[in-house]
Amino acid sequence: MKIILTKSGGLIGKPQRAEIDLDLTPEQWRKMKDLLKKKKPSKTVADGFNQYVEAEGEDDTTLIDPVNLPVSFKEHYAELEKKLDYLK
Amino acid sequence: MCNNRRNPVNCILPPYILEKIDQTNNSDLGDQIVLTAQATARFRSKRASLNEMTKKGKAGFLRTVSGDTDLEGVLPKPKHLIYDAGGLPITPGELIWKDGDPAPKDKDAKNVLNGATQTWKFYYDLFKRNSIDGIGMPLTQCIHYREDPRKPFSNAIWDGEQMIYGDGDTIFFDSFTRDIDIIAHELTHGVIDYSAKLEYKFESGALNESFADVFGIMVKQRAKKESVKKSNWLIGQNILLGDEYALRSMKEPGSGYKNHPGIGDDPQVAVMSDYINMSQHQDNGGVHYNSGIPNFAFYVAAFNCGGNSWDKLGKVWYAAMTDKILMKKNSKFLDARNATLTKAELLFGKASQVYKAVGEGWDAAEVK
Ligand SMILES: [Zn+2]
Repeated sequence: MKIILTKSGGLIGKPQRAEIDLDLTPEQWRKMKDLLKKKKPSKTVADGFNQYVEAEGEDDTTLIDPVNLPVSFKEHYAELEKKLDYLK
Repeated sequence: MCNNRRNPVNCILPPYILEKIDQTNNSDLGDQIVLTAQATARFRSKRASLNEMTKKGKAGFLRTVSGDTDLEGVLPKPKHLIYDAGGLPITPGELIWKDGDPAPKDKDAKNVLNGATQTWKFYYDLFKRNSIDGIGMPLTQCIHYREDPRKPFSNAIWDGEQMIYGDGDTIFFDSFTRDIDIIAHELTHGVIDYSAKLEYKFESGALNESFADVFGIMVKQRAKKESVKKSNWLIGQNILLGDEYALRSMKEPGSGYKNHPGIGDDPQVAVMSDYINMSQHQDNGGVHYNSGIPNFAFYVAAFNCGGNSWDKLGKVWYAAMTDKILMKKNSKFLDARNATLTKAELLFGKASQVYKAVGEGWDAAEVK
């Protein structure tokens, strides 16, 4: 399953994106998303970044809190973060 | 996004320390470390600010009132607090400059001091507004910030209480303190928090962004003594490395950068028929994309007025932005059109060139 991380917003506004392949069933991904979902709504920060994940072909996106990730996703996040590149 | 008021723990402890805490699997120990670090950082920061105010005695911000003078008839002055995050996800960090200190040595500190001073003067000289909140709020700025100590931060933000700047990656981005219009942009987000309170999402968010750019460009033009004809109307010209690039163009939204090796093409739009519908997760609903529309309206209006943008049109846009009845948290572009036309009529009359130009600006951006 292709998992996509997008970092959007910032003063520049342009999104940065990265993807990795994970060996997950749709059910496992659904459970992972529940764990990943940002627990508290953020206070608005003008020009701040948002980060969200989605599986390829999925309709909805899940906003995440990169500093409060479940342990099981930290390694994947580190890999995704390293690959982030601006969408040209 | 790291914000110590929203999530103090995340901001005070760098991720590598959090990782360590995680690895110990000892939640009590983790909580203890977190709480201690949190309390220490809060205490240091508050102590620095309080010491500063105590040293100044009664001349602190509490006595300053909005208007020409404070209670003793002394002209208000900006109050600066500049902090250094030292490349860490800590805000505000260590206090490195306050009023009365010798000129700062750090070039980013110099930049933010100059930028915030020019912006304060802009709001005070033209509108008698004393600082962000109108009652002398200290201008708190944090430089050398990083969300992650291992990676450069290529961004500048207003977090609700302070302006925070990254150093840029030095490949595509220079320090985010390098443009006076960016400093004025961030400070204006603060002014909006204390006036129109435009919600930072979708159309109201794009208006919020546009007001920040409009005041950003006017502060730059006034500091450089540039008329509407002389100005290049570029936002963030120095932040984006390379002479041919800028973050945005108000004159021609979507032309700030083309074929940039790092970030490609500028996606901003200039007219309502090109409005981009995006989800809230994507740039808060495209606030930096669609802000090109009211930006373009302001540019056309200013150009058609002629002279200096801040002399006439600045007054109209400021009056609209700070009118809590005409501009509300969920206002749209059309509300901004109506508000600026109302203010142009009140300030200059319906038969004036200013009123005509304001209408022409919004017409050009297809907001009607
Ligand atoms: Zn902004």
